[in-house]
Amino acid sequence: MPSETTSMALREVTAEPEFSLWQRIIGLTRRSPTAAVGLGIILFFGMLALMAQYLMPHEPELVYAERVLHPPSSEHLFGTDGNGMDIFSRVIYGARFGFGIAIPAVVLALVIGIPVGLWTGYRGGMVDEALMRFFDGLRVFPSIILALAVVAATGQSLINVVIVLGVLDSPVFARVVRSEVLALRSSVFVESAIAAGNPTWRILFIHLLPNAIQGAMAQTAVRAAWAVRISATLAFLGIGIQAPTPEWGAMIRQGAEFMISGQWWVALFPGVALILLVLGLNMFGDGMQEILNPRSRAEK
Amino acid sequence: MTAEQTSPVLDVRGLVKHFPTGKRDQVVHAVNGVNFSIRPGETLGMVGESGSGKSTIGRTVLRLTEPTAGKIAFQGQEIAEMPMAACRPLRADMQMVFQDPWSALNPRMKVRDLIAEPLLLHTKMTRGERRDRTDELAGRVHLSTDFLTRYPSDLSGGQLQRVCIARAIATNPKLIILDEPTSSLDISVRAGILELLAEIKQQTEAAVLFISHDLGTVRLISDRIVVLYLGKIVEYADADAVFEDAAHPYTQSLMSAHLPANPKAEIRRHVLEGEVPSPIDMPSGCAFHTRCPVAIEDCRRTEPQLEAAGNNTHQAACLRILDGKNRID
Repeated sequence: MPSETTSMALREVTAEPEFSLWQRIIGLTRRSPTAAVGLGIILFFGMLALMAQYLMPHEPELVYAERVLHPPSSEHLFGTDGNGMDIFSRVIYGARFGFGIAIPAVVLALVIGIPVGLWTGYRGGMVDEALMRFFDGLRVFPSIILALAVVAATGQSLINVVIVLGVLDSPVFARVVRSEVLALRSSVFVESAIAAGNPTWRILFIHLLPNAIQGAMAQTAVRAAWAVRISATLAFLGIGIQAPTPEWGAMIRQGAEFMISGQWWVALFPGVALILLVLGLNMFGDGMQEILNPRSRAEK
Repeated sequence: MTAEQTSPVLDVRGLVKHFPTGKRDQVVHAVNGVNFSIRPGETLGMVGESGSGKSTIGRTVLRLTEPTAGKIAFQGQEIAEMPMAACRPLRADMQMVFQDPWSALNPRMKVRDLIAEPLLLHTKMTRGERRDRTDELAGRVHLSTDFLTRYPSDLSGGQLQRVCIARAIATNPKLIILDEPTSSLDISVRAGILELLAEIKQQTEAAVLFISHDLGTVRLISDRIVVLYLGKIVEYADADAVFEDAAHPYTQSLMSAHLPANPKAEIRRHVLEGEVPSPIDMPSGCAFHTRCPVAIEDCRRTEPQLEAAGNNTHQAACLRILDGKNRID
C-alpha cells in the first residue's frame, strides 16, 4: 500500500536547491564573517604558495653580495637581509613552507587520531582508559618543548618536523572523535548495523566515522594554525629548518639580530606574514567551529 | 508440510538476562527463564508491558546483548555462547526490524546502500546484481525507487520503516525479529506497515518473532502468542485462544483493557491495582501476586510453572488454574 509515496512528498524532496560556488561564499560571509575573512587570508597565502615562481621578482636564495641589508626600495620592496637576499621574494616563497608543513602535519594527525578515537570510543574499557590517560599526559607537556626535544633527538629535517607535529597533534582529533563515538555507539543505527552483520571495521569506518567526523573537521584549521606557529617557532629556535632556507621562522631568527642595529625590515615582513597566516587559519577555524558545532564555541 | 512436523528455526530454553544496576548485589531481572520456539513460517507474537523484557529477549536472541544464562538454538545450532565473530555469518539468516525507524538507519548512507548492505555483507553478488535486487526489494515493500538515491532524512517514518523491512528481508533470512515495528508510527501509517508485514509473512517461510505491546496488531499477524510479565512467560497459546479464552489473570486483565476502542489507553489501571513491581526486587512466588485479584496465600511462596490450560497447546503459569478459580471477572 504505497499510500505515503504520494507525488507531493516526492516533489518536496526533489526540490533540494543546488548552490553555486558564489552563493556558498555569500552564505558563509553571512553566517560567519570571521570565517569568510579567514578563508580570504588563507586563499591569499595559498595563491602565494602555488604561484610563487611567477610572483617572486628575485630568486629566494640568490645572494646580492653588494646589497646586504638594504632597506625597502623599489628594487627590493621589503629590503634585503644579512646575506643580501630579497626579502619580498623570500616571504612569498615562505608561504610554501607554511602550508607544506601544516597540511601534511594535520593530515598525519587525522590519520593517527581518527582511528584511535573511533576504536577507543567504540570499544571502551581498559585500552580506552590507558590510551586516553597517555594522551592526557602528552597534553600536559608544553608541546613546544616536546617538539624541540624530539626533533633535536631524531635529526633535523623537514620530514621529522612534520612527523613530530602530526603525532603531537593527533590526541586532539582522537579526543574529539572519541567523544562523538561515545555518544553514538549505543544508538540504534549502530545496533542495526551489528544486527545486519557488519564487521567491526565497517562499523567504525562506514557507520561511525561519517557521523563522528564533523567535530574533528571543524578543528583542522585551528590545528593547522598551531602547526604553522610551532614549526615557525622551531625554526626560530634553530631546530629543524636551517638558516638560508626561506622559511618565516628562520627569517625572523636572522632578523632578530638586526633589530637592535635598526634593520627592522629583516624580521618585520616575515613576522607579519606569519601572524597573518596564523590569524587567518584561526579565524576560519573558529568560524567553522561556530557554524558546525554551535555548542562548544571555539575550544582551543 | 505442517508446522508441527518441521524442526524449529529458533528454540530458546531457560533464557535469563540480568543487567547490573551499578550497585553491588543488585541486578535488574529483565528476563527470568524463558522458553519458546518458532517454526518456519510461524509468527510468534510477544506481548507485555514496557519493562516486561520483550525487547531484551529479541535483542538477546540475536546476540546484540549477551545472555546471562540459557540456551538459544538457531536452526539446531547453539549460539548463546558462540564468540561474536562466529555469529556474523549467521546474521544473513537472522535479521531485525527496530522500533524507531528514524534512528535505526545510518543518516549518512543513501537508502539504496542501506537496503543493499546485507547483500554486500553476506552474498557474492556483483554491483549490478545488488542494484537489481535492491530495486526488487523496494518494490516488495512498496517504496518508490525514486527514494533509493535519497538520504533517510528525506523520508517519512512509514517510508523509513519500509526501508528497514527491505533491509531485513534482503538476504531471505530464516528468522525475522520485529521489535515493535509499528508502535512509533502514526496510526494512519501503521495500517500500511502492518499490511506489508502480513504480505511478507505470506511470501516467506521465515520464522517471525513479533514483539509488541499492542494487542490489536499482535492478533493481526501472529499464529501463537507469548504473554510476558516481569520477564517470565505467563501464558503461551494460539493467538485466538489467548484472545478468546485467556487463562492467566494477567492476560485476562490485558484483554479487558484491550476491548475499548483505544487499545493503548491506560484503562488497565482500573482493572489492575498498583504498578508493575520493580524488576530489581522481584516479588516472591508468582511475580504477579502483588496485583492479582485472585491471588491466595500460596501464590506468595510457590512459583507457578507453565502448565496445560485447556487443550495441550495452551499453557499458562497460574496456581489458581488447578482449582478453577483463575477467572478475574
